Amino acid sequence: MNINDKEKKIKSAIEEITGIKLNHQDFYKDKDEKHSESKIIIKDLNGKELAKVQNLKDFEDVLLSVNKDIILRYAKRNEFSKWLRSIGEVELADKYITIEQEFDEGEKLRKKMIDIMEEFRYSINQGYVTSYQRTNDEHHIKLSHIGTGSFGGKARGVAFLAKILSKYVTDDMFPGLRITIPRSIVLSTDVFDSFIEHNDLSKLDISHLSDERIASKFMAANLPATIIGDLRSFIRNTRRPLIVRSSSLLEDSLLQPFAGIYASMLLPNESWETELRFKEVCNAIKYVYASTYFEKARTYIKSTPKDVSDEKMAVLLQEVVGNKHDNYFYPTISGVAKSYNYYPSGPCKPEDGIAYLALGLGKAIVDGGSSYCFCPEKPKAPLFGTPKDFMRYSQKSYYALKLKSVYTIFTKNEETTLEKLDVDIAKKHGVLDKVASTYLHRDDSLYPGLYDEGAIVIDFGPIVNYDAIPLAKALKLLLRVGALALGYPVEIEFAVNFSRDESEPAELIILQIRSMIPPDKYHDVNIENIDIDKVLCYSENALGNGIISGIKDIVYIKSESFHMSNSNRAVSQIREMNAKLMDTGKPYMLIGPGRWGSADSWLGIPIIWSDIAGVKVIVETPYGERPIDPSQGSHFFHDMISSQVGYLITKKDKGNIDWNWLESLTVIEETEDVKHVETSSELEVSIDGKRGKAIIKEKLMIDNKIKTKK
Amino acid sequence: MAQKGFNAYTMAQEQFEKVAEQLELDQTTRNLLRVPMREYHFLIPVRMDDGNIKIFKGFRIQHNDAKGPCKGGIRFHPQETADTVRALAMWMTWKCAVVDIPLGGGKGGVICDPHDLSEREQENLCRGWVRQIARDIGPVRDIPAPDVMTNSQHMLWMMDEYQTIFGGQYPGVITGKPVELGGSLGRPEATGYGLVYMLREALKERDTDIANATASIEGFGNVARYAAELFIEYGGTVVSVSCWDQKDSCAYSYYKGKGIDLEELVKITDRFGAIDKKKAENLGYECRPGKDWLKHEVDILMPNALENSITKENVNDINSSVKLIICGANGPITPEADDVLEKKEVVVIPDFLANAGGVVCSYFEQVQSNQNYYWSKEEVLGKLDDKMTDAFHKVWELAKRKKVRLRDAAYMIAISRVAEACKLRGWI
Repeated sequence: MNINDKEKKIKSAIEEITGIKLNHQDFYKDKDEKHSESKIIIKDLNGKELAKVQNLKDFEDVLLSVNKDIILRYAKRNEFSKWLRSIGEVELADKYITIEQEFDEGEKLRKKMIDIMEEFRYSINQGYVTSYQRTNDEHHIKLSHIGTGSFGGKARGVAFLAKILSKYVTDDMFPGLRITIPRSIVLSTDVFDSFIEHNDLSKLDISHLSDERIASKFMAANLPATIIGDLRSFIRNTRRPLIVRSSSLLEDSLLQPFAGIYASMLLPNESWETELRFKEVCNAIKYVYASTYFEKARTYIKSTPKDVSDEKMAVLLQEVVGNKHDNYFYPTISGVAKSYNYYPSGPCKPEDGIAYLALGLGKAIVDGGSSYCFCPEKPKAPLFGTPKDFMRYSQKSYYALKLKSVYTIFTKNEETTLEKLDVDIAKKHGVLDKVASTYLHRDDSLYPGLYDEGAIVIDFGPIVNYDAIPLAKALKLLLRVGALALGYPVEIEFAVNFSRDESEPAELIILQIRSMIPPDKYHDVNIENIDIDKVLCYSENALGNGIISGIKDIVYIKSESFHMSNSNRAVSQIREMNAKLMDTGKPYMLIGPGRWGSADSWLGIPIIWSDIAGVKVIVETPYGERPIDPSQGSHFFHDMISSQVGYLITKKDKGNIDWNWLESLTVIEETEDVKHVETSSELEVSIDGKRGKAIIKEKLMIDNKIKTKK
Repeated sequence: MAQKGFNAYTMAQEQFEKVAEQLELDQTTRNLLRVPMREYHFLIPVRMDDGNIKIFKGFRIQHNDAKGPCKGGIRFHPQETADTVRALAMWMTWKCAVVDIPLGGGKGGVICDPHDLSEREQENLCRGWVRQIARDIGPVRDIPAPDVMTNSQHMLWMMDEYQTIFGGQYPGVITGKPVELGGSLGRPEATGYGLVYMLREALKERDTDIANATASIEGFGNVARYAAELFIEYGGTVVSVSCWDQKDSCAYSYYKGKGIDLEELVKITDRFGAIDKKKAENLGYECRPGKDWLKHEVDILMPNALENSITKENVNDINSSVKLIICGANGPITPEADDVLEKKEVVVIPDFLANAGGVVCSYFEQVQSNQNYYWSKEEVLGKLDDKMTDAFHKVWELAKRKKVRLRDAAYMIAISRVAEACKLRGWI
């Protein structure tokens, strides 16, 4: 699709959703017009024409599809940089000419070229980011930058959103709802470079230092003198809570989402003393910088083709959205919306997308706690059971920022600043009117809004079912426009905040956008005809696609004795086994009860992705009675999908893993809760992505069968 | 120093009168501000190493303390005169006021040549100076600092003597102390960095991107080096620096079109600040006569070394590409040269505004010493940036509004602030 088509599609999508006629100048037009005059024909060694490059989109396609050696051949003749120059993309051409000379290996060159294109895609929008000016403290400027380097993944996403919003979205489109982004400042990657260089931090022997030691070395260093004046003035002028987020070059890039790998710090930023607030922010920035080299990040990076030294960190400082209630601060609603639903159900198709909502701060959703989900295209379609189910499984507690927390940088998790509050407290704070329904036992029904009797159910009924605000419509539009503009399915993090003043419109604040990994073009894996009694495991709810083979190692939770109260304990045991397996380069299968990667240790083992970065297939076995919505651990799933890992959910009654067989295997290592075993022959996992079904069998078994048939 | 026919005090008073006229100050205010409020002249007997006693003449002049305790350096100089000290004390009042720190102006000195004194004699002189003036200085009255030919060791002797007399810990009595004993982080950088913070804002006003700007610097001392460091850090290019060569008894400027590499130049610089000519040439620097520093095709000139370095004789050597001159040194541009520059529409950021970073950081040191709690370097430099940026924009805005030179605008702001403080106290 060329860029003009894209523009047209975006416009017509907006017009269709909002019913408002658009009259804007073209989104990419200025960039596109230059493209038609000159072209390169890409041919293979035999002179056969493979592709014609006339515009940047063609060029990107070539980078993604053409053989690496052919790309290298054209690069060595500087064909790409010459062409880019001829179409007027001088800046890009300059970048390409350097790397065309620098790289001698096709794959590396291709990766680098793709990275540069990606950077460029977003950079089209950077005009919407102004350089931070302290003389005119204009509060309407939402996004500004300090430093002159790259913004990193997250901040580029925010810049991109700023562009979409200012270009396409007008206040009249969604009555009662104002769409915006939070006031943000980006410290670009050159600040990081100069910090590392001036403090001699590149000489640290990071692989032999603990995270705490690395953090304290970074904390003792000084931020560059070039930026602290601007930073201080920003802090002086804001006393809203701040979130200091990593925005690294590799993070959230289309190919390797590093979501959740680096640190984020949430600061109450409450003190009346500018000095104290400034110091906290400086420390938080240095901590985020330090997290580039933490063990978690180093392990993760090992599982990718990149190297720690490729990484550069920009930092995004965002004002936290919300209102102050007593000593707590939180938005009415936090949410994540995805334009592609990996777990479609009922009338909703995968392309219809999905949105998750939670009361309070978004930790509940991102970490896989209980939240409410609905399909933005069909908001009223029920995704889950009876009113009683709603009541039983809806959110009972939520996260809020403690404003008076005693804050120290070394208690690095969010627990020091976040507090889990009971939903009743939100009722006292008066924020539930629009987000809750009431369940009445006597007629087993849900009624939108709050009543004196009955149980509070956080089901966002007034919004989702009764359109108190046009949230579903707005999300639908943002997801569609985002996906069209980026050319990939997208995931959006957002918050909804109601003003205390009823006459003010509610705000939908978009915090972040990132590309989801595009669903693969489905391989044809037909497992319909296989006798499920003869396989090791069968799943009717599987994620991923294709055939995964070559696995001989299995790490599993010893199910017969396992209780979820031990799930935290199991994490470190798994992490150690993962490290050993990764060191020896062995892919493995992970089997265990409940939802993997859940932050709620009662629902499953609360691992994070880096704990199991070497895994190829994950099997979730049933635990207890509670049905668990498997797609809620956003970061975890994002990473999992990008690593092309198969995820199989099994049921007790049908196709559950063959425990007798597992127990019979050779034990390599056994700890309190976890066993590492090895099979005698390779395993083969077939996943039918289209139907969401999968089987696991031993290769030997297949061979035997073939033999018997013969 | 005492040049023939030149009296700094007369010049300072004339400057004041000119601005007082522009501000339409009343006669009483002028009478109060055109002379120092207090002067101390005293003799300091010092037993020399040969057993004899030598009598030195010392001064402390407090020009005005309406805005806060006086602040100013102590100079050891053989040609020191009371008038020089008076002028410098008055300039300190204006300098503190223009960056809006709650301090007044003072200056002190001793007529002596420290080169002729042993370390022990210097110590006795310092302690003697304090014994004579201890009752009239102090953290809440007057806070001395290092100046010409005095250093942090002198300050520590003075602080120690003061504390001995008053029987307590008073680190806030003096500034310019080493970090290990009550000094402030960021003090060495302060003047140079402060200069560049102001330069950065000025360039923004002139729609010039600092990352593409080029500069030529006179000098290679503390101010010049740190100014170069931060300017380069912002992406700017320094094409030339200059220094005095003791051996050849002349100044040289070192030029590199692509931009100097600060680190490599510092490596080949001796402790007096002289760059090794041969090594520099080996590194690809062009060695030119000292006065050539202002002839380069650059956007910015930074005279960071000497008084009177831009005069009516050489002002026309300045390349037409120069848009801005920022004065790190005291009094580097003569009034005649200033007039020429104005006609050429070159923006001149005057010395007492541009190099105020030093006194701002001294003030920070004093605050930290008084509360006996010390800040991080980020805190110090962050606040310095704040102060310098604010001060610049106030001056710039007034200069634009009143259509006067930055120097005049800066004086107008400073003098009116001091006059206002006197008025609020009910003095006038």
